[in-house]
Formats: sequence, C-alpha cells, structure tokens
Amino acid sequence: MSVEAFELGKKFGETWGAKNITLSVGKGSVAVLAGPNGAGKTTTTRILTTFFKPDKGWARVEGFDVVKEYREVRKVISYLPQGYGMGGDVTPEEFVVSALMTRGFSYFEARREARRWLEALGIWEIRGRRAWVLSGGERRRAVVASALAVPASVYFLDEPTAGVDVEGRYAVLKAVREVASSGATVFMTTHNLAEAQVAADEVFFVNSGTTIASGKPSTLVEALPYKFKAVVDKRNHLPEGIRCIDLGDKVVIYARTRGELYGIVEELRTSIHEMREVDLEDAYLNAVKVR
Amino acid sequence: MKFVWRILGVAYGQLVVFRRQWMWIAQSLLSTVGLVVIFSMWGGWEALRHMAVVLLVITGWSVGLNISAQSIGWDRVSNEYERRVASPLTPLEYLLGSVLGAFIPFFVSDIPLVVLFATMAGIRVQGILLLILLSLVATFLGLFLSLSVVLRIRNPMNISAVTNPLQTLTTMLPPVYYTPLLFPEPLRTACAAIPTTALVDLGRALSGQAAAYPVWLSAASIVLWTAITFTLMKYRFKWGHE
Repeated sequence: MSVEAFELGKKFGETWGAKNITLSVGKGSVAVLAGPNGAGKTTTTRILTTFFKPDKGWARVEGFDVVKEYREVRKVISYLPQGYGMGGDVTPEEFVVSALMTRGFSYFEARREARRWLEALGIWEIRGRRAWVLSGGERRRAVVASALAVPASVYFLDEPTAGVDVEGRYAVLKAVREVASSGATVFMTTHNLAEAQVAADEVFFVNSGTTIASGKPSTLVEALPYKFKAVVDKRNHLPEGIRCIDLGDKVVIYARTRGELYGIVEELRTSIHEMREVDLEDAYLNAVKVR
Repeated sequence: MKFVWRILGVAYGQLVVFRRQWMWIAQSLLSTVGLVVIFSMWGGWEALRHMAVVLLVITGWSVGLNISAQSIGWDRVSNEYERRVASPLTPLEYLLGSVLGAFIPFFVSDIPLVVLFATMAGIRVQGILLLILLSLVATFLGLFLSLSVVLRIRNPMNISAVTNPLQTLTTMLPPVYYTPLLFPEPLRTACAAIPTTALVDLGRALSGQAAAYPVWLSAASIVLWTAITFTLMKYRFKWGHE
C-alpha cells in the first residue's frame, strides 16, 4: 500500500479536526478524500504530510511511519496545501523553477522540467507573465504544475482545482492521471464529486472527522438503493416514505426505476425540472444521510 | 550538491521579488549615500570611518532582522512553510536560503558602496573583510532575535509592524550611529549589553579604530545574545509535527 491510515485522529483544544480516519490507497492510483468543509480532509492531509502529529491512530506513506520516519516520508512526497497560491511579481516559470530547485534540481534541470509541466497544464504561453496579471485559474494551474513537476512517489493535492475554470480543471485532472499512470500515487481532496467520479480510482467519504464510506466510484454508486433521481417542484410537504432532499422550493426525489420515479411525480402532481441517473454526489449524500 | 541547490532554490524565490521591485534596493542605496553625506559633513573623515563600520554591520543586521524574518513570517502565513516542510528541505537549508535570498541584493548594491567609503576613509582591506564577516554575524543574530519574537505572535498578518519597530529600537535609540563614550558610567558599560552597540563597537575594534569597550566584552555580549536568541527561536521554530 502507498498510503495507509488507521483510526487517525488529531485534536485542537477540545475539538477533533480528524477523529477516526481509516483508509488505504494502492500504489499508482488516484485517491480522493471527499467531504464537506470541516470534515477533516485537510487535517488528515497535514498528518500524512508530516505537518501535524496525530493524537491517535497511525499512518504510513510508502511504508514509512509519518511520525517515527517522517524524514523518509518527506523525501518521497510532494504536497500542494489548500489555499496555496502564487502572488505578486513572480512568473509561472519562476515559480515552478524555484519549487524544483528546493527539491535539489539544478537551475538548468529545473527550467527543463518546468517547461514540460507548464506545457502539460496548458500555460507555457503565459510562463513569463507576472502573477498579478494572471487569472485565478491560471495561477492555480501554475501552482499545480509546481507540485506535479517534483518527482515523488505520492502527491498530496489539497483542493487542486479550486477556482479553476472547466477547461483548466480537466487539464489538471489529465495531468493527475498522467502522474498516476507513471506509477505514482495521487491523494487529492475535493468538494467536487463530479471530478472525483471522473478522475478517482478510489474515493473516501469523510464527515465529522470520520471515514464513512470508501470504494471505487462505480462501486459506491452501484451500492445505492436508487438508480434515478429527479428535481421537482416542492408542494406543501415533502413526500412520505420516499428518499428525497429538500432544496427549499424544489426537492430531489430518488427511485429505483424510471417508472417508479414517474409514478412518484404523478402522485405528487408536480413537474420535473431535471431527471438523470444517480452519481457519486448522491452516494455521498446518502452516506451522510442528508435530507 | 543537492543541498546547495535546495538552499539556492529558497533564495531564488526571494530574489525574484528584489529583481522586480528594485526600488527597495534604490531606496537603500540612497539612504546609505544620504547618511554618509550627513555624517561626513558634521564629522569629517572620522565620522566617515565610523559610518562605514555602522553601515556594514547594520546592513547585515537589517537583512536578518527585517527582511529575512519577514520572508519567513510570510511563508508561515501563506502555506509556503507547510509545503517546504513536506519536502527534503531541512530547517537549516531553509534558514540559509532565506538569509541568502535577502543578503544578495544588498550585498551587491550597498556593500560595494560602503566598502568604497571605507577605503576612502582609510580602513584597510583586512579590516573591511573582517567587517563583512561581522556583518554576516549581525545578519544571523538579527534573524534569531526577530524570529524569537515573530514566531510567538499568534496571528502574524502584519509582520512588518513587529520587525520595523524592532529595527528602529535596536538601531536608532542605542549608541549605534553615535559612540557610547558620550554616556557617563555606568550607562556607558551597560550599553554593551545591547547587541547592535556591541556589534558596532566590535566592528570599530576590528577596523583599527578606537573602541568604547574591550574586545572581549563586545564579543561576550554578541555570543550571549546569539545563544539566547537562537535558543528562543529554536524552541518555536518547528519544522512540522505541530
């Protein structure tokens, strides 16, 4: 296993940032830790990257204990913290070159590698522009390039696509898959479960500091008791005995078959705004029992 | 060799700032020239000899206390610090890189100018070289002192609001730009306990000028300050596992 954690927990005063995180990630796979704000994703990542010492449980990265063998862990990982960005007068090329040099690359080797990854993220053309003239998405892509350019066995990316446009997100996910296909492990956190469904080999749902479900995206979706969902106008009350999520003036209803869904809609005397098959987001909502 | 590139990598990130915002260097140069002119006008060659010592030592002190410490403080706020922890970079390499990145711009701008003034004022090459070494000592002592304060601030969103007053307090008020000989005892000797006063006075001795204190007293003050501030800084300078 590339990344393992067992009942990992970290307390801040009286509050558990992470309480009971258990996961294992195989080598060369893309794992996504998904959950709402405050679920413990970043705390977990910070423990695995040896920034925090856990208060309970244990974790290993590439076989090295994150507490006792932290020096070895730091040699084999690359980390992109949440909210980390480039600002001011630095250019994307300088940013990536600096990151590579701090990993031991010579200046000239760093420039060669920087070019490769800036091209992969689609920002080679703007490599010489200063950060303050770039869009948020372009800056984010440069930051992701600086993390992926580093040769590592495990990449920890905390919200790598935050603030990135659609085209940029897919460039990032493509780069992530390329890294994984070369044998490295990518451990990502995200709020965007649509991305996790596309890019991840394994998904771990986290809520209130605890791992609540895990598996391949397709397995998690197939495990749902429902196959279809529809967004309908909400009438006076929520339908009884039906799995649904209240959206205020609308409600999402779930059913096993299309026929059952149409039957519910007819019974409620409402109209459908959208209907489709369930996805990873629904698997997550089901796991946390959102109503 | 990789550790050399790691240090240079940290320095490179900082040097970009100075390269783009060269007005900081220009300001420093103008300030240096201005101080030299002012003091020389009042005190002639003797004042120029004293100013050469002060400028070499205090440039180093400022680089450590203000610029490097601010850079490190901002790294902690911006998550750059977290990213550096999750790498083979060691705390020593990081500190050296931070100091180097701040030192180089002033080394190539201010220091040649001050060396020129020192030579004009009659300070020998040997003395100048010793002063440059002392400047490096001042850099690290300034850094340790600044970090021992900055790293204790819970929410350091305006780090310069701490480092700038600290710089003013340690360079403008105590006998740095003027000699402690102007004070009566016991105040005169007590001033040797101030790190910048001790540094400048040791610099005067190393450059062949009359000093207010015996060399051992200035040296002891510097060593004691270095030991204390290093200990205070080390206790708070955690490299992960917080």
